[in-house]
Amino acid sequence: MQKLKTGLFLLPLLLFAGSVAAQTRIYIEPRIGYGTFRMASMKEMQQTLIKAVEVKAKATDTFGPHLQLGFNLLTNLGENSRLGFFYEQSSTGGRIAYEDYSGEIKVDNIVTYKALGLKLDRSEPIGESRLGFVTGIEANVFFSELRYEIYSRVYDYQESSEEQYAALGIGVKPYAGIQYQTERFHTLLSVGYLASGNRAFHVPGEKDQYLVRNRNNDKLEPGWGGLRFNLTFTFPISF
Amino acid sequence: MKKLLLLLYAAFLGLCFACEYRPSGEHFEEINPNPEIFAEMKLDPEKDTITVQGNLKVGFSISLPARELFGYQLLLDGHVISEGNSQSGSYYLQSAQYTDGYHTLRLSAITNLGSGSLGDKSGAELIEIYRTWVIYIDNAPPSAVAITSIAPADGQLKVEWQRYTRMGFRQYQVLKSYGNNYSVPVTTIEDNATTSWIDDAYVGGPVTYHIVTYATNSFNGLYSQPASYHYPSPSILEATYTSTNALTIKFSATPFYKNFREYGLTSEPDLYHYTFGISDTVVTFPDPGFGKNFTFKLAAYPRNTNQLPNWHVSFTEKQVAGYGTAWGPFGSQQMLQRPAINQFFTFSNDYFKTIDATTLQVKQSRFINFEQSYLQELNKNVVSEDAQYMYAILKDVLHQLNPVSLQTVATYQFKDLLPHTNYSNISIESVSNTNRLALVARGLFYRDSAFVVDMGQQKVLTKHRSNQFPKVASISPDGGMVRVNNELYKEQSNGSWQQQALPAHDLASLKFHPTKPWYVVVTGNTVRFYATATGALVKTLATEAILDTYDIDGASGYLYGFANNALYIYNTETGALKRKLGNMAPGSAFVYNDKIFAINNRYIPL
Repeated sequence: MQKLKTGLFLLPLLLFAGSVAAQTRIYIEPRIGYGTFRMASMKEMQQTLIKAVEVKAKATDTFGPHLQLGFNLLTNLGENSRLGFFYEQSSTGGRIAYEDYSGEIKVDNIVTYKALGLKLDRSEPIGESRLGFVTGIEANVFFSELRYEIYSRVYDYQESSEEQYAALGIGVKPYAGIQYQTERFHTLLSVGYLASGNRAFHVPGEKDQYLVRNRNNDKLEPGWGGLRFNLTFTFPISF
Repeated sequence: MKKLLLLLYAAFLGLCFACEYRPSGEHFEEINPNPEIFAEMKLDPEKDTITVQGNLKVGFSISLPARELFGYQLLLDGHVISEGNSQSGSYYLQSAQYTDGYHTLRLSAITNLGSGSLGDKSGAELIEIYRTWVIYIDNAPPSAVAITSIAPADGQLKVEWQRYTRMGFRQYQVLKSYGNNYSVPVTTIEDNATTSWIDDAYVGGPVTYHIVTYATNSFNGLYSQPASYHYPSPSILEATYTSTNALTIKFSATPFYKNFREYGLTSEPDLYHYTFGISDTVVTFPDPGFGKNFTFKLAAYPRNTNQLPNWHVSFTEKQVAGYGTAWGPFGSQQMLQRPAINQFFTFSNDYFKTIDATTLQVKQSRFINFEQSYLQELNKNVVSEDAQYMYAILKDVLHQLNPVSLQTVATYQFKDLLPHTNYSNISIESVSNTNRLALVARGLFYRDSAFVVDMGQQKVLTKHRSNQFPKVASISPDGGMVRVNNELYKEQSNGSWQQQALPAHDLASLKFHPTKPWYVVVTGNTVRFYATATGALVKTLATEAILDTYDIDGASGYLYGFANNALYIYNTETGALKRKLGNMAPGSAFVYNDKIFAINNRYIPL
């Protein structure tokens, strides 16, 4: 898993390092996104946890929306279409918190993903202007991580623990947007919807030791789906 | 260009790692750190102070709603005697292992505070809930209670005692004794709290009580010390005679009015008075009887007789002297009165005495040294009514005595006087003013005869057989008539004695008048006087009752007799009842002149 990730990161370098024949154009696109995360399973897990601690804990943070950062690396496929890879990462988190005179409990779940996937887009200029209408689709693999942090204190006695779990998943995101083109760089503002499916969080290396979200032993998986707004800067590079 | 791209790439990667999501938020709950504790601890037996004797199984239960029990301890005086985790259980207490007295039993339970806080849910807030009881151990041997008071209460007698506070009480028993070391149980009480008893039979006198306690851990009863009480029994305070010789007795009352039934004041054989009135303590006997001293007994009788056999009547006694003037005593078996010389004669086994009938002093006394017959019925000594002639048998010899000096003036042998020599059991019965002696003797074949002997001529004038017993022979003062039992003979001019025909019952009561030439007969309520010369009825006297024993006083002429336990004295001239005295036994008194003399040596004016 680690090797694959490393390999994928190094892929752009290979693209640079290799002397690829012909004049190619590659586009380097740092991007920033903002969107919601469904996280239905995780939220249910929080409620299960609240019941389990027997005190009136509250989910003070329920996996709210967060920035996604990533970049694309594309090359022209046709006149108006492009194909490439993209990388994105984001995180969100939830918290169960409870405090009274005798102590406190805090359970933080930080979920992060690293997504690596393929991207395909098509742009159409809008009239004579510099604006263009872009549509595209992305398909990626999610490498999710859950960091499970528990902190409790009863009077003077403190206890904390941190555990890590991993999960694999896939996602598909169709999107559309408006692009402003100049010679040196483009700016795209797009909106899309990510649909994802994920496997359960499990002990790294042990697929069978997975987490459950309720008493029926239903699996705990992240849910990355949701609405996405993206702002992408395109830097075309010619060789 | 490449450098720029690499720089951008590196910066971009750096940015990526910097902005990890940090969860946020806090939630504070206000929890009461001092919640109300609801818990219940129970012990069986359910008492705050438990008295223990021997062994006791103590059960306990701990109730902690909505709480968890982490453990309990049972402690006696601070030492753990039992511990565990269950919410109920029992412990077998062997009290003999501990000293007698008060101990503290504590049941202690550890549970969570129940505040609902995080610390509470984590078991970091534990509290101890406990409850204590007092255990009183009483293994000492049982001890008797004491009687605390015996006192009159509401007309009865109340006995109070200490309560038996030890264990194993079964019953109290009250024992009562009247001082004769013989105690009888009078009540049994099975209620420990009842420590008093009302004696409803006590009306006075010395009494002793015991309280006996019976307990399960003692084989025998525990006897209290005896406690005595004595309220003086009713007793005679005063005995006085009124001017009419009625006897008034005053006595003290009993204060125990609820127990009292009646008083009984008695002097046997004649005087009785019973009354239900508790204040009826002055009793007058109008005619108590003359001539005797009284021994009065007084008792108060209780209503309750169920305490038998301990129903005890306390008598008090008082001697009350009879009324009248004392005279004598003379200890005589026979007494004769002879108004002719105003003298009494007394005859006893050792002395003959003459007594002046006015001064009542002994004038003359003759020691006869028991020379008379050992058969009392033969010892009659005779004096004629005019006190001229006096005869007595001494050592089987007939003596004639001087009535004044009591000296023997002559002696006679019976063998010379009587026709035969083998008479025995001779008794002289009476002598007339003409010196005719009537005597009775037993002859051969045990046939009794009465003789009239003329002592002047020493000649038997007449003789009559008698088959009746006892034998009575009396001669009239003039000597002309003799009664032998129920036959009357009159001397005829030719010297023979003719039997007079008189009704039999008349003859049974016939007496010769001492001073007049009459004989007297009692028929029913009539006394008749007949002339001895003619047999004509001279006088009759009506009497209230049929006189039984009667006599005529030669000095006063009164006739006196006894009937129905009373003495009647009649004036024979007027026929009037001169005096009546009740409670007089027949023959207990005689009338002489102006006095009534009691044989028991008192006299009163007539």
